[in-house]
Amino acid sequence: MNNASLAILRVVLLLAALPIVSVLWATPAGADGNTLTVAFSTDIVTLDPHQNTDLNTMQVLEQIYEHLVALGRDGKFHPVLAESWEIADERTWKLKLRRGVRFHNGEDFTADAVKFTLDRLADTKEPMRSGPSFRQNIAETVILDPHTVLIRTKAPYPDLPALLYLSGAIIPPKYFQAVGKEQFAREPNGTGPYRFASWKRDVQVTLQANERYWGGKPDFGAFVYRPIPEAAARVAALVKGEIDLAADVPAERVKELEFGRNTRVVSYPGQQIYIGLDTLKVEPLRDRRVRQALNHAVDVEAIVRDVLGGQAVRLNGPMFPTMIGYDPALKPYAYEPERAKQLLTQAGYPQGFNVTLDVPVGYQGAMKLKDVGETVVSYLKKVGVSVKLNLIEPAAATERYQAKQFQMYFYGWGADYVSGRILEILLYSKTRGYYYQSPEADTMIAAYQSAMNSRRREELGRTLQRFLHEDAPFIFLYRETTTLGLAKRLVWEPVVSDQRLHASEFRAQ
Amino acid sequence: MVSWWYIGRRLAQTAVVLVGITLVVFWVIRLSGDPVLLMLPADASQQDIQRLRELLGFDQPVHIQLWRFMERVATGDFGTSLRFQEPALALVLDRLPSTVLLAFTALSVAGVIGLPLGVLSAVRRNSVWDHAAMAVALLGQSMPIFWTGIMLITIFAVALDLFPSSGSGTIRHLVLPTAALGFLSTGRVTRLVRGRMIEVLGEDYVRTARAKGLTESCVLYRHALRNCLLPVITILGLELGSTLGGAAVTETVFAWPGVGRLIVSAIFARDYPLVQAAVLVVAVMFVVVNLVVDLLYAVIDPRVRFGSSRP
Repeated sequence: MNNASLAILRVVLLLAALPIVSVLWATPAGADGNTLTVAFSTDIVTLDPHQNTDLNTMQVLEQIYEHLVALGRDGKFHPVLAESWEIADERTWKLKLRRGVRFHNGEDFTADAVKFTLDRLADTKEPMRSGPSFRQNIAETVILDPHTVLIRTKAPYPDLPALLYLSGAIIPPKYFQAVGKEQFAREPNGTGPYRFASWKRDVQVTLQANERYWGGKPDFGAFVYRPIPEAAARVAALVKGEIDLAADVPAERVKELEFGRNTRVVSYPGQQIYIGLDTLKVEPLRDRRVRQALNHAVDVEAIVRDVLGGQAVRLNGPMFPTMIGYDPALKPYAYEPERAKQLLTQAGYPQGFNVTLDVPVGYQGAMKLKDVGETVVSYLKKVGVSVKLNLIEPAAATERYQAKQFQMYFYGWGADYVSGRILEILLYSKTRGYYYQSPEADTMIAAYQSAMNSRRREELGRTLQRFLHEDAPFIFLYRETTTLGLAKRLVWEPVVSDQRLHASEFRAQ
Repeated sequence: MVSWWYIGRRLAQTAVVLVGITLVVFWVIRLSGDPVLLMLPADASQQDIQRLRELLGFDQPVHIQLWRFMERVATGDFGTSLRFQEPALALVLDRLPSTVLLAFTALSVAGVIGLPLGVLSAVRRNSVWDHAAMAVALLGQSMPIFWTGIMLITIFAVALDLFPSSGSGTIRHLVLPTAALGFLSTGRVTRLVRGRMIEVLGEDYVRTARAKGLTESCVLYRHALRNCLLPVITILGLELGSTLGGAAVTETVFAWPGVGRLIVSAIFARDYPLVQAAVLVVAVMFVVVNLVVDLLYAVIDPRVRFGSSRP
């Protein structure tokens, strides 16, 4: 090969490098100090708040739409679009509405909007995806005057404020009727501190500050939501200053962000993980002593420390700390394998027994379920219970769960605003009762769920928690710690157990 | 040259392939479970579940569902995405330009770098160039793209601060995903060109060309390179197919708004209509690319004749 052709080749190689060099000179898209940019793992799903059941999507909707009430830092519900409320009788709530509130398009917020919203959610002909609890519990909404409404429930329903916060985003009736549901889902219009600007799918959602917001113009002029599926890429974007907030920081990256030059972390309680037990069809598991033995046999503290890197908290029962009547003094099951063996012997299983544990890998973003599952198996082995681990795809798991085909299964329940919902849905025989039915629990849950007097409800909650702890329908594992990575310039503290962000609470340093 | 009869036959085959793919995807995804449960909140009652199942037609036997699906597809209706509640095809086509852009730039990089690098290594066998090129090629082929992507982000986005770490919008956003995706193909092209070139350079006609007194560059480019292009084009065609479909990992790592990432998330959400539409669109692209590659053969190599009965 002569020198000329070699030279040509070199030129070609250089030319190939040119485009790379030329983009280096292009001006970087600098971070805008007036924009709050957050990154979550998935793109939003819809902009119709009543058709949404996705938590990430909620992070955008929550800036655009408001509810009648919201969860405060004290764990109680505070007025938002409702100025005040009172319980008129067991089944009737009377709400005074805030005056001078407008939707982004200028439409006035009045009792019409509340009735229109609740009617849409309770409608059975065109059921909304986030509406099941409204359909089950709300009888009717009555307008007393433009700023007063009555909400009647089918039965005494003390969790109404929680439900209103959970999925009762208030929508504008005139706008909705004028544009129709399709356009409404593309161009949302609420009363919140940010109004919708654009949604470039899989790229970003952009919101602009609502200058006329009744609660005062928010600090950041714009809010940008970016879907970044890969956790490592999210952390990289935060470290680099491209974003201000990265959701779901993996446990192994927490330290790095905690001590980063421009970053810090904020943690709050996430979903609760337990191992459900089929107490109906699996003979040994029908015995309460066996279920207690399983709880004594697993060293959850060690799992939290060694498998989860400390990013979780041991559970002392099925309830969340935010639930009315939750008793923090109740001790979790101690790790006592000898005690477990005794209980198994008393129950007639001195040699243990065989059982299957299903682990849905990747389920609801739960941390390291497979590793936790394997550890649990080895702990149970030590007391003679031989567990066959079965890895299963999450959607298939949901199906088998419903078909009552599990013996032992992992289950997670996200932080909940509605006090008794988890108990009513998982452990009340008249709703699911797939794997656990107990007349005593039923009575207690029903009483708890309908107690309108909050002190009475608190007592009932304590009794119920102690009972369920004793009766052990689950192996109580842990509550995950969700970690957000934050840019240091952000001034903000999370509302404990509220997984929804409110952009208007953020300040820039 | 290419006969119309041949093109017609290939198109007919294409149609059969696409129907086959539709059937397989339809069947396979239905083996994976019921999507309705994933679409409703935890407090949904049995009636809610049943109602939604009926609304979406999932209460029907699979063959009825399939028939309805085929009927609608024939009219260009791929159904509504369960998750996004919008027409599935529109959601896919919305992402297609991003994927095509990424695939083509990655492949161009592979061609522009891999081809000369391959020739150079072949001509200067066992030189420093050769060893370096082969080392790069080996790396490109053996590193998992996920890892390459994370490394590129860590080095070029975070440490050196040259490019955005993820996302899209400017040409700078394109660089790292292109590098990650292109690296793999570059390795393949380089090795292939080198191998073919070494083979071709030993052929009689190359010796003859040299003996005739042609300049070395004329021998290399007019005679040798041209003869080693055929398999390269085949590989580039296949690579384009696999970059189109296999961009899923790259798109996910770099938050690139493409079809691959859409398919991955649709599968996790059990969004049947969306998966079907997306897989079919990718399949169409794949088949078309293959057809074009076959037709290109004739342009590059006049010896290749299609469809005629002459020997």
